[in-house]
Amino acid sequence: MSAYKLETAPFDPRFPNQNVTRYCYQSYIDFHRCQKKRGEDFAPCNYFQKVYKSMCPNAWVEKWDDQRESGTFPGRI
Amino acid sequence: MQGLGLQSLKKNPALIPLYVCVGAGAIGAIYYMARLATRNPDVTWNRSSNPEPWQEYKDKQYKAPS
Repeated sequence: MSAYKLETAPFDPRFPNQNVTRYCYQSYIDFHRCQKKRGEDFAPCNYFQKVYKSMCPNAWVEKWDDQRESGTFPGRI
Repeated sequence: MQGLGLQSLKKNPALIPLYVCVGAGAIGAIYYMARLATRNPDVTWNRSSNPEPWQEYKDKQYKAPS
């Protein structure tokens, strides 16, 4: 049986409360801004992706990805 | 009504603990509301000058046991 290293997004003092909606949204935006600014292969951007994949409901991520593709994403990337 | 003025309060001293408890509760409630209004990472009073109030907490703690 292989050993799985289970971990989640680290504690961020900007978002200390139970409701992590803003942590999710901020990480999603930060990841895509990072990618836009530094290019798709810039590895350190993946930290943000790890965080938003942990924090955000998958339905939201899919919805936002669709919105970005169709150009209707409301946030500033 | 009795107990609302200082004179009638002296005649009914058993009401004093009531004043103390209700006063402590009111002070606690007002203090916590004020703390939330001014310190909560999600609250901003001026959206144009402070659009992302949570960024202020990048290097400091909001909650004591965190």
